[in-house]
Amino acid sequence: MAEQSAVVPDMVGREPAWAIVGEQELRDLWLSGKGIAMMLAYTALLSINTYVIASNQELNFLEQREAVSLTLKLAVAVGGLLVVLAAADALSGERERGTLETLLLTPAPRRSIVVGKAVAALSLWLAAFALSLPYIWWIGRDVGTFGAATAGGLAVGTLLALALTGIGLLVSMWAQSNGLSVAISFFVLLILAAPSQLPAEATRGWAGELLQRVDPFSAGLLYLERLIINAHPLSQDISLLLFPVLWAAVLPGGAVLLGARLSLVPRSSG
Amino acid sequence: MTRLSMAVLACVLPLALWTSGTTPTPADAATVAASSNEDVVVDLSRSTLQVGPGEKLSFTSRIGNNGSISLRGYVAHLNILSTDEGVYVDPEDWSPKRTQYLDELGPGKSTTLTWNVQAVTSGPLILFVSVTSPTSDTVTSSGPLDLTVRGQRVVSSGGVVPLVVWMPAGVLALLGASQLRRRRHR
Repeated sequence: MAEQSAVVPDMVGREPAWAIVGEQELRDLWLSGKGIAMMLAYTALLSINTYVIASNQELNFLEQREAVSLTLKLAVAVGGLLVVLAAADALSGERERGTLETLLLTPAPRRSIVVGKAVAALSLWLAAFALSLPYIWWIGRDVGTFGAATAGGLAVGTLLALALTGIGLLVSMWAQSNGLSVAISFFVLLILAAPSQLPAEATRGWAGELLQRVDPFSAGLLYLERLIINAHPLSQDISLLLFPVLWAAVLPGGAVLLGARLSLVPRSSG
Repeated sequence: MTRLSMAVLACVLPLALWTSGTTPTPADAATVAASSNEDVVVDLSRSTLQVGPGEKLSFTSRIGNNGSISLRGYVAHLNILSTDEGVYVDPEDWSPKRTQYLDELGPGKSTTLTWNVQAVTSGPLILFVSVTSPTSDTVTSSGPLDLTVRGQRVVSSGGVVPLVVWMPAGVLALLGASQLRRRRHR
């Protein structure tokens, strides 16, 4: 199958093949209602969070900047969760539903199929972030954090979404079943998110600091915290985004490269 | 009368013995007196400070050895507390590094430690640094740093309901429209 795709041109008609696959995937995700249902759950979660922050006496002790930071981090983390679930289902789901064969028989190169799937998964993050903006504006309306929160949140969230898309697609390519793919991807997401929840004491010392920088979640969320709570300029802690940028390039890049070997049989059983 | 006096004595004697057991003995008094080492001096660089919530502040403490022998293995700890019962203080939120281990301090020498704190909640607070010996038999504390954290801006609940209701409602309407569209196309 891989040899067959290698001779197929990257352009199908006027449009690049990945754009056609991407458009089809976007239609499937959004017009079928799957993506909108995810956004419904996402906005419900942000609504509960915002209502509790604004009205609950226990949480209302949060300073306004802290409340913005908390909501932004929640928006980024849950947006990442949506992306990883969609990416984890992308290839193993097609395989399990018996539709991957049809997809592989199209003239689109396999790498284009993987890129198209990635575009659809990433669209979930972009839609989720757009929906989070009214909440972030409302919570921080008196402290002038909206611009920084929007720029920082978009940058960090997009880097995390790219990295998580790569993870989901790689796992989906190799997993024996769709359930396993989703479970492994979710587990990897939890592993990545865990260091950001460690107590401050655990992030001291060279090992703690290294972990905080290498882990894209910890580094990204720390960057947002300093941006919003400490009112640092966007460029001050930019070095924290070094590893998130690296992961955001390597993981999806790896998925696209290995996508050339996408086959009907999962790689792990080959 | 004799019987009565004996009965009273029988009641009072055990009580008197028990009371004498709870009265500090000279040995206990010596232990209390030794809990502070007069050879160790702890001074803070500031005595009052006023900041806003979320602001970071930094101050130093000078730890001096006025004694004739070196101090080894001493530990300095930053204490943070509020004098207002209604203000909750979790010291870890305020400063993740509140314990510092001192290098050997020779007679007549002193060392300066820097403490970084982030004001989390508003209210009246007291910060002080305690220095303890490795055997924990003496603790010497600095004078207080009176910290006032100004009133904080919290999220006002006014107008939250339209936002938290209409956002999911709008997405729900979109979901309904997409389902209707799908049905029509079938």
